[in-house]
Amino acid sequence: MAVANGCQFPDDLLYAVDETKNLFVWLRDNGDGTFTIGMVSVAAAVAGRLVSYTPKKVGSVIGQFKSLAVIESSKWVGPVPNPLTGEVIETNDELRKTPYLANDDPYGRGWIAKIKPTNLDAERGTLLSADETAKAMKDYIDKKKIVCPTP
Amino acid sequence: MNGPTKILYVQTSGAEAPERSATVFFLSTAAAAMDIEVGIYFTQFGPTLLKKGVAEQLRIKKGSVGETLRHFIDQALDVGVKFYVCQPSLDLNDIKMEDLIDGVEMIGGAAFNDMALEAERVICF
Repeated sequence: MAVANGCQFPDDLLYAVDETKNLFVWLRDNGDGTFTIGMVSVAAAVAGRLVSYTPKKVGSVIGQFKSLAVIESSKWVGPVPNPLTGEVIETNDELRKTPYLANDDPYGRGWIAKIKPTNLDAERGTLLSADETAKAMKDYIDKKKIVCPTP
Repeated sequence: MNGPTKILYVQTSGAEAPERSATVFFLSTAAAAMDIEVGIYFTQFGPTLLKKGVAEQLRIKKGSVGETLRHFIDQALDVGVKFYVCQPSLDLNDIKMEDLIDGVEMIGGAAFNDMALEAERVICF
């Protein structure tokens, strides 16, 4: 488990992070041509306790870095950018009913969407390992004085 | 993406009605987060929300210690929501362009109508 300032980045996941794009997501390769996408714990901490989750519809083709879902807390609303161009295969009904799962279990039950990438070969190079992500996020976490909840 | 790609919001109330001030910024931010192209046209009392120094002091709920209106304005600007005002409304409120925060564009009535015709939806507050 990679850790930056108390914020965790599980080793078995890939990541896409870019502060300028508000992109702070993890990816799990499901082994069947699809990936599960979620928010890293840092992003959930910044957004605050979520009250609403609105994903793009199943079947939508979403470009890289375009909005995959909109998440809202009482004081913040913003996109979860899509890390890989692809088709939305499944959205998370449990998260729709209980949005704060993204805060309480960001790497598990709080997943955002499952996608089938359509340009993986060209875009795979933008993905990072857990260690790379922890290093990349450290300055951001320091700057924003982020405190990730204890899992 | 599926569905509408442009929404135009119209904000007519201003600093005299704080409880009506945040909605347009929150909803337009949500729309922009959906990759919808969004503009807000501030008319009648709307431009008073954009006057320098006003939003920082405006609390949406009376007696609340939560975020000021400035937080919601900054969110909207950060995700690319466009802000527009009209000259007659500035005159109505004795405001000049230089009295407004950065990031506001002046447009005329014809330009507003063009925007309304181009937008898939127009939502008024």
